[in-house]
Parts: sequence; structure tokens; C-alpha cells
Amino acid sequence: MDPSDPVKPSAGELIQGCIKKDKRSWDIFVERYSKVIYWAIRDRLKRFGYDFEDEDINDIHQDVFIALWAGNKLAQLKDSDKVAGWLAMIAGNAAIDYFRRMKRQSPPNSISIYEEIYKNGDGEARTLEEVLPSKAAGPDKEAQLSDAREVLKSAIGSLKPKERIAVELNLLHGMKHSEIADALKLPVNTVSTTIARAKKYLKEKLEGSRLL
Amino acid sequence: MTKLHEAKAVGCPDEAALAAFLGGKLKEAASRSIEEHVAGCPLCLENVRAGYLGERLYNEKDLPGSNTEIIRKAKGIAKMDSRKKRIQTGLWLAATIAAFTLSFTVPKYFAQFLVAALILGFKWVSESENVRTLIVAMDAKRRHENKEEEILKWRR
Repeated sequence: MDPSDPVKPSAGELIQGCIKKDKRSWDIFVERYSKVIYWAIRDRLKRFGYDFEDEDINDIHQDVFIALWAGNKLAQLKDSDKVAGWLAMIAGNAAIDYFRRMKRQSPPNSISIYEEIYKNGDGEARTLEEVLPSKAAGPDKEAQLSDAREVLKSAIGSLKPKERIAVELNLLHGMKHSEIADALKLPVNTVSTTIARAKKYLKEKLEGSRLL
Repeated sequence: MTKLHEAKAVGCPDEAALAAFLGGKLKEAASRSIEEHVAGCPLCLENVRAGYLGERLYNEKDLPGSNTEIIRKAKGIAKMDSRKKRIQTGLWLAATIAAFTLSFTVPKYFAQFLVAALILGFKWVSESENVRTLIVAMDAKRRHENKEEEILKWRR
């Protein structure tokens, strides 16, 4: 049972009920987690720049629940404490699959730090154009941006895995230091130091390539 | 540049592994291996972000509303599934009765229809939820009785 409400079944009890095909558990499960699935589908479609309508979200929402019930996907979950996060990932991937299958649209062709699909992501991610004080315009600017992306890609590739994840979550996904610390189970100070050090390193690399 | 549509490759950890990674529930070696993968895989990094934010927004009850119509449709999946199963089981039963009846009405193929009725009947029994439950319950009862006998024998 949920300790905060003795009448509500816990996530683990609900999941076990759904795996055993108990319809009452299923009804509660759908009511409880529909919102997070809806949010995750919309979020993924927006971030990947797909042209979508409400109908698409509704169809993907139904696809996700069919996979959970008929495909018995809930049996794969290892940690019932993280069911909402797990469902958000399942829903996001289902959105990509739906567009690939139904609309023959693949995810964006390329993705790297400061790509334009992230320009308006959370309002905090910065694009390379914002970072580069370029005086060039037109094709020259595009070439400069492309060069800068290559420099950044190789510089980021040389960071340690944890540093790289922290930097990308911050610069690419606009996540705050405290959120990254929470996600990666690290002290906030460590994350802040790591990001500051990595940003300095990236700046040096860009300056070294005479792009800044 | 990393191609995102090529990024979700065979080596990508599944969503359950990424959720366990976010929950800090993995052993150090497994966690490090996922960390190394996520650092170089944009789609898995995207999943890590979605998993983290989804969990947080859910716990903070800070999610925009879904809508009643799609919730109703999603709930209906379970009903549809059981209705489909009932229809399927009913079809096996109807086919069994038909084959059994035909074995008497067409004496020339008596044996063939009887065998068909037996096969279809077996299929009906194995697909039927109630019969399956009954078999499981009887099996459990039998095991329980055997155990009691063993205990009695051991006490003697």
C-alpha cells in the first residue's frame, strides 16, 4: 500500500495486478499514469521537431497502453519505485516508433550539442549561434558553425563519461546543476565544478581553432 | 556527427536498465557500463532526461492533464482483450461440438471427425481460463495432500 494513503495500492501492487491481468488494477494504473505518458509523448515530439496533431498523441498513448497490457511490457520493469520515469522513456520511444512506422519520418538526421532542435527546448539550452559571436553571414556562417560543431564534438568526446553526460544534460538539454546532480546521484558542487571545467576546456578548444 | 536514427542500436540498454541506472540500483560495474554508453549515445541521453523529468514531475504532481476520452480508451484495452479471448474460446467449443455432431451424421468419416473433435476439445480446454484455473487449483490440492502424507510419514 502507498504509505501516504492506506486506501491506494502502491506502484508495486498495481504493477503485479496488471501483470496478473487484474482489470481493477489496470483501471487504477491507467488513471494514475496517463498524465506522465501524455506529457512524455508531447515532450519527445516537440523536442524532435515533429509536425504533430493531438490525434497523433492520442494514438501513441493508446499504443503505449496496448504494449503494457497485451505485450506484457510491465513484466520487464525491475524497479517499481521508478515506474513514472520508466513509462516516460517507453512513451518517448513509442513516439519515435510511431512517426517512423506511420509517417515514415525518422528522428532528426543529426544531433549534436547546440543543434537547432534544442534551440527552444526548455528555454535554457543555448545554440551554437548564440555562443559563436560570428560576424560572418550566409554560407560562411554555416561553414563556421559546421567547423565549430566538429571541434566541439571531438572536444566533448574526449571528456570522461560522467563529465560528458553532465555537460550535455546542461548545455544540450538545459537541465540545471541541481537536477543533474539529482539524476546522476552526485553532489551539486561536483556537478558545478565539472561543468565549469568542461566549459572552460570547450572554450579553449574553440579559441584554439580560432572560431571564437 | 552522430546519426540519431542509427543511434538506437543493438547495444543500447533498455528502458528498465536506464530506470535502474537513474534509481542508483545498479552495481558499480553495470552502472559504469551504462554511463559509458549514455555518454556517447544521444538517444539514451534523451531517455535519461525524459526518465528523470518524468519521475520528478509525477512525484511533484506537476503534470498537465491528460483527457478523459483517451483514459477511457486505454482502460478499454483490458475489456477488449478479455472479450477477444472469450470469443476465441467460444469458437473452439463451437468447432468441437460441430465436429462431434458431424462424426454421427456422416458415418463414413466417423473416426476422422471424432479425432478432430478430440483435438478441438483439447484446444478449448487449454484455452479456457476457468478450466485452467480449475486444473491449477486441483494440482495445488494434490501437491498439498502429498505433502501432508509425507509429513505424516516423516512423523511416524
